[in-house]
Order: sequence, then C-alpha cells, then structure tokens
Amino acid sequence: MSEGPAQTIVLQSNDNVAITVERKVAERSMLIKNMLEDLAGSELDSAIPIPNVNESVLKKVIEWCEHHKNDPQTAADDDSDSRKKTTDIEEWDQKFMQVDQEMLFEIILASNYLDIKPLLDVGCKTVANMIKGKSPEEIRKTFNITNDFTPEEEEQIRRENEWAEDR
Amino acid sequence: MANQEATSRLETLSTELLQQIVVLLPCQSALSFVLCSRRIRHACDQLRLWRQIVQSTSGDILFTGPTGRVKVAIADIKSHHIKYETELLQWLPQAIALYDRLYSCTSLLNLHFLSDLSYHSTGQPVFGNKLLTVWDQPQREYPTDIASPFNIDTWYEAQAASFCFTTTILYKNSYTENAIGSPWSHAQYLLETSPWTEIQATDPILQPAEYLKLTTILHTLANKVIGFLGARLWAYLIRHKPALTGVSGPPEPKKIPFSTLMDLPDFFEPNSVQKFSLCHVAKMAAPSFFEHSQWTGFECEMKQESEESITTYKWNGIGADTNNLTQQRHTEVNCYAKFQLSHCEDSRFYVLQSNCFVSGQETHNLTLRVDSRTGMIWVIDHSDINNVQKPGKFGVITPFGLIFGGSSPGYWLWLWKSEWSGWHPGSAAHEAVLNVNFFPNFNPFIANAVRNLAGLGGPAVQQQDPDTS
Repeated sequence: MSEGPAQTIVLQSNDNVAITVERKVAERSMLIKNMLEDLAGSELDSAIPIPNVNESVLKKVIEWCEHHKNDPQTAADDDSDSRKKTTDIEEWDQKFMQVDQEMLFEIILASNYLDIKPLLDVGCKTVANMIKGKSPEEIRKTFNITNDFTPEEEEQIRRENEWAEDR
Repeated sequence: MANQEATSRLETLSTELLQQIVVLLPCQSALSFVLCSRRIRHACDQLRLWRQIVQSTSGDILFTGPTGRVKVAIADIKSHHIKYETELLQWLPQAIALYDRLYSCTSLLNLHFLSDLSYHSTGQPVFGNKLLTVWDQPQREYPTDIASPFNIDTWYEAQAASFCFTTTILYKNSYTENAIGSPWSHAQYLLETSPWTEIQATDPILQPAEYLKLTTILHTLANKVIGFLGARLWAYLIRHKPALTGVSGPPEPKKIPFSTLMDLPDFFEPNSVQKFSLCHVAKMAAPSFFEHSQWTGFECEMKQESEESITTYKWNGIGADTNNLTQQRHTEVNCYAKFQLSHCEDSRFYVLQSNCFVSGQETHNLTLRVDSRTGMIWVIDHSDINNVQKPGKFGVITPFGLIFGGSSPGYWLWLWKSEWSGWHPGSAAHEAVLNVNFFPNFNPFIANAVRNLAGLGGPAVQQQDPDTS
C-alpha cells in the first residue's frame, strides 16, 4: 500500500477543465475508485475524463467529497433500509445543498454517474424534503412541472386528492 | 435557470432516480407527487414502491386516530369516499390482500352489492330456477347462465368484490382489539339463499371461453358463501360456546399469507381485475399446496321448516375427539383432514384423496379431481365411513380455503388450513371467545330495511337466533 502524503490525480470535466484532487477524495466515487484499482500499478499520467459533468458541478462534488473523505465507507446494501426511513440530513450537508435547482439536479446526476451513494442520498433527500407536505399544484410550481394530464384525468386526480386531503 | 417552456429538471431524472426519491416520502406526499405529471406517475405509481413507502412511513403519526388504524397503505387514503366502483376494484382486492387492516375501506353492504349480480338483475329474469338454494321457492333470479347478459368482465369485478367482501367479514369476526366484531346481520338470509352450481357439460378444452366464465361465476359464489358462512359461524360459535370442544376458529385474514399465495397484479394495472381472478391458483391449486398440511373447517347443513319459514342450522366442526370412532370402526379416523396426491391425469388435472376425517358426528372421505389452472374441484366421491354418500358435489379453491356445495340445497363444507385459524382449542384466544358475553348486534329493523332496498325477498328477519346444535 502506497499511502503517499498527497497522492493526487487529475480529473477533467466535460468543459475541458483539469482539476487536481487528492486521490482519497476522488475515491469517494466508486466509479473512479474502481477505475483506479483496475489501473493499479500502471502509471496514471493523464487526466481522467468525466464526460457527464461540467467544471462547476465537478468542483461542487469534489467539495462534498473533501468534507466527507474520512467518512467510513458504507456497505451500501446493508444500510439501504435504514437510509430510506428518514429524510434527516446532517447540518453541513444541508448547507451544502443550499444551491439552485439546476445545481441540485446536476449534483444528483453527477453523484449517480460517479457512483457516490451517500451524496446521491443527500440529493434525493433534499428533493424529497422539497416535496413533503405540498399539494400536487405546489410541487408542480416548485419544480416547474407542466401538468400534462387531460381534463378527464385531472378530474380523476382531483377526486383522488379529495380522498387524500380528507384527513 | 428554470424556463417556462423547458421540461422540468426534476422530470429529466431517470425513472430509477425518481423512484429513489418517492420512496423517501410519506404516503400523502408520495400521492401528491405521483399526481404531478404523467412522467412522474408512470415512474412512481407502482405497487412495489407503494409497499416500500407504506412500510417505511408506517411509524409516522399519519393515520393513528380514533379509528385505531396504525398501518395504512396509500390505497387506504384513496379509499375514503369511494364513489366509483370500477376504480375501486382495480386496487382494493390487492390492497386488502397486502394490508390486513384495510378492512375498513368500504362498507360490507357496498361490497355485497358489487359482488351480487342478482341484485342488478331485479326484474330481468335471465336465469331461472336452476341454482339451488335452501328456500323452496327461489325469490331471486341468478344470472349465472353463461348465456346471461352479464359478460365475463362483469363477473371478474363481482369476483374481485367478493374477495374484498369475505376478507372484510373474516377480519371483522377476528377483530379482537376492542370487542369481538359483530357478524353481518344480513348474512343469515343471504346464506340461506346462496346459490351453487357445478360445471358438468362445459368442457374446459373444447369450450375454454364458456368454461372460464363459469369458473369466474363459481369463484364469485364461493367467495360470497364463505363470507356468509363466516358471519353465521361466528354467531354460532359465540352463542354455543359451552359445546365447543375441539373445533378451531374460522380463518383470519392476517393468518392467511395472501401476499405469498397470490400473484397479485399491480394497483390500477390494465386488466388488473381480470388478472386478480385466478391469481391464487398457481400456488393454491397445485398439489403441493395440499400435501403435508392439516385442514380444519366446518360442515353446515340447513333445513327449512316450511311452516314457519325458519331455517335450522347444524354445524359440524372438524377437530372433535376421534378415539371412539377409531376403536369402533377399526379404521383410522382423524380429527383433521389431510390430502395426498393420488395421481395426475395430465399436466392440468390431478386427483387428491383425503384421509377419513370427522366433523361433529359425521365422517368424510373425499376423492377430488382438481383443475390446477382454475381451482375447480369435481367431487368424485364424498362418502362417510360406512360408504354412505354425502352431499358434497362440487368445490372451489378460494383464497379462504376449499368450499364444497351440495347437490341438495343448504349443504356446505368449508375447509381451511389449520394454521389459518384464529384460535385453536385451549389457546388463550379460544378462552377469550368462550368468555365473551356477547350477542350479535342484530337490528331487525335495519336488516329488513336494507333487504327491501336491495330488492331481496324472503320473510322478515327475525330476532330469534336460528342456530340449533
């Protein structure tokens, strides 16, 4: 095991910006971690392209990984049930997620692509918290969703809501 | 930046990600979410996800209220103020099978009407006198002819409703948290006029459509009569508790593993009502379902005293002491029914042979020919220990066990797996039943009013208990 003091790698965003990052930080991404393991031994002299993620998002993701670099790696499958039971988000992550929606969804997509489950989790929980307690119309407004149901379907939906709102 | 014309960023998430979000929501928010747009509904309105949502939010304070329901499915939210029956049947049967506390979704009377096509045929005689009931002169027309104007889709709905109806009755009967549930007061008259038929002339291979329709009809009648039997049996058990030795209680919905026994269609899935019809037979009509299991149940014989128009009942419970009989007859007589596979006729039909089991003073030997695709059972032989023929004629495998109707009216044999019983002799629950000082909350005025409303004939409901032992 070579635990060099500051072993770094270079990631390249899809807008061609090279970002140098501590290997341990980058390895929060299972995608990158597995890739590096596959390359084990061979010299990594070029930047790793991250084709789905632009510079600002990648930096944001790296910021999260930086802060969480010492978190224990979760056995994702084991704790999936307990994760699902709560939408509580720790304080730092809450602040981290105070971004506009565009960035929020970019973070979700990037963490999904890079396979960073805890970050994806925080992203989904943030969206869930934005949905919680709202009516369909309020949710549509929040996320700029177009209501594409036909008037008949909407009438049916209205009645379904009537049931739901009864209590 | 969000642009009015652009697609919502949320909706550009993959189906998988949308599902990951919806399962984090409590029921009501999840419902609101799926009602936002087609894309979201398509991704998230799925039974598997609802199950997860309900399981993970059941600890919420959402629906713990005076009604005492603690765990409620999203389907339960949808169930209040039900006005449109077709939609109801696209999810309620599955929901009831998955969540036993959904019994309170809709009224028994509503479910009864939905599952009783004779109610709709008042004044429209489509099927005369052919079906047997304990009453001498049938008061109603039973539209169960395969040539009847009710098509098979109507029967699918009736069958789905009948499942809900009977689960609800059995659940109410076993509902012991506050008090013993009261049997449905209309059940007596409806039990006595429950029709039954059998499949004789219709060939499953040559006339598959006709055969399928008849099986759907029979499944409906079977579910319904089990509901009526369940209600009356409970009244009998409560009233005659000192005489109860050895018998087990009726099956309880929460002890029947519906969700593993039935291959349930999704909520609101296209054709879900049709798919529900035979979703239990793959497991429950397979030979393996019968072997190595112990079955209990009751035989019910009704006779009408013509002068008084009062029907007398005889209930013979399985599980009585069999030692005397075995010694007398030098034949092994068992206190529980057991079946073993005799032989397979082909990949579809097989023959089961029962042991010799006893119900009350009666003994039974059953040889059954089972259609594994539809759960229909031809009784090849039903005789007692002396080889005297018994009345069981044709049976159906229902989610609540096996029901056999007789060639003589007013005969029913209902068998269920022992482990489905709410209580067994000597159990604490059994003691509780024995100690209940309870008589069904039976209001003859309401019962009569409802019967008139439903176009049901027959004599006025009487206050006396008709059960005799």
